[in-house]
Amino acid sequence: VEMGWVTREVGRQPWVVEGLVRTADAASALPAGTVLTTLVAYVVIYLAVLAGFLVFAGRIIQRGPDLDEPVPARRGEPAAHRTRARARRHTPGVGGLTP
Amino acid sequence: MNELQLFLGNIWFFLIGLMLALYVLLDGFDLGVGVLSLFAGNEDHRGIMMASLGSVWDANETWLVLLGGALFGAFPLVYGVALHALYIPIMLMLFGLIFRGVAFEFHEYAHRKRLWGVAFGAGSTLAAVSQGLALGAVIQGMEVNDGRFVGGVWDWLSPFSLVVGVGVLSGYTLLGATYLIMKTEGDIQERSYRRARLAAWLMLAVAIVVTVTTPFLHARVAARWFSFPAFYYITALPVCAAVTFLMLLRSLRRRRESAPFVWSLAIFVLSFAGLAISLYPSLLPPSVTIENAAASPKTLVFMLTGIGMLLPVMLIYNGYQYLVFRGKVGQRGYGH
Repeated sequence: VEMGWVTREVGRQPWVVEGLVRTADAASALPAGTVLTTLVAYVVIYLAVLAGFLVFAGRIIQRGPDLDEPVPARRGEPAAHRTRARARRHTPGVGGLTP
Repeated sequence: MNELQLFLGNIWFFLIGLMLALYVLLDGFDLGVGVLSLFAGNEDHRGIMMASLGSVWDANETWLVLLGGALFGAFPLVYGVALHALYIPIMLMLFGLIFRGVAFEFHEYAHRKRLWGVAFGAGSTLAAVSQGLALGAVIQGMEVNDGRFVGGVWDWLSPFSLVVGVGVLSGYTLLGATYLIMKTEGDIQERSYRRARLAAWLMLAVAIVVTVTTPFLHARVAARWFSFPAFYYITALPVCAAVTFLMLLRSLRRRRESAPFVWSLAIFVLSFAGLAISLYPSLLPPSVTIENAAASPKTLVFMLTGIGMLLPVMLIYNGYQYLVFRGKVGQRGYGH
């Protein structure tokens, strides 16, 4: 997906809107140094977040699914009546993450 | 500029104001809880604070995305000038939002929870302060010539914008503290009562400074405030805000659980209305107005069709999630 995007963006140059606006005319008048600094900051932050993602995703995969998780009860229905696979999908993790 | 375009521009001024207000109210308490999490004391408490937001924070930030898109389409001039003039505070805000966003997910799985707890708190604080700085810079005004921002990259930084930064930080902290009063119990709730009071006084101080300073910054604002009979209508706002503030203090003293949050939201709505009325029809004072910044009527009508379908859906799912996740939050999120 990323490669396709890069191909598209590069392939369209020097236009930012094909046939209408040139990239050079669309760029803001911000000093190049400022833009470079934030670009570098983005790259550094995204690499750090990517590293974090790989570590935590690895940890979650290694741990595997938690089959002992208690099955949440549905309204007016005893807990044990529900299948485990179905219940898992409805178990919200803290922070909204459902592993 | 014809009448139709001006009319549509006004509609979009209102819609963008609505989106901004919703964003500030919703992500306000959200970021405020983040600021307070820095003083959580232990990781368990911080975990509960984060869990109280787990179900709502990303929906709250959707309003910021919508706001950016709407501004880009309806008032491209504002989008271009503001993002240029406020480049640094907006980038800082985004960096802050990145850290707090991933912290929600990483905090749960981390061995060193402290690291991500601090990332959450610091990211939230950075985002709140940056938004305040940007707001301060907008109120203060920016130099625009021929549709281009002609000031420097650091123009946004001034004593005034720093004061507004403190104001937004304390206002968000107030929203966060009163939200925690509503959503938690025991120790966290007890601390939140005290912090809400402290944040409220700090916010009041800044609100007074900003209200007194703004007419001196722009002759247009002064002209609107001190013209009769408009003066009487406009005075109603600070009077309402003062009453609301007293009601907030009273509800905190009486240990009400939901009322402080509602009063805090009301203070924000009143402040926001005051700001909008003072600046209208300016979008970026002194020179960028609805009249010279609105996109073509064709664009505005097209966007209106889209937002007409989107906005109700967003309001419904936002409301629904608060309905589903009502009540107190426990150690593991919401009890089942």
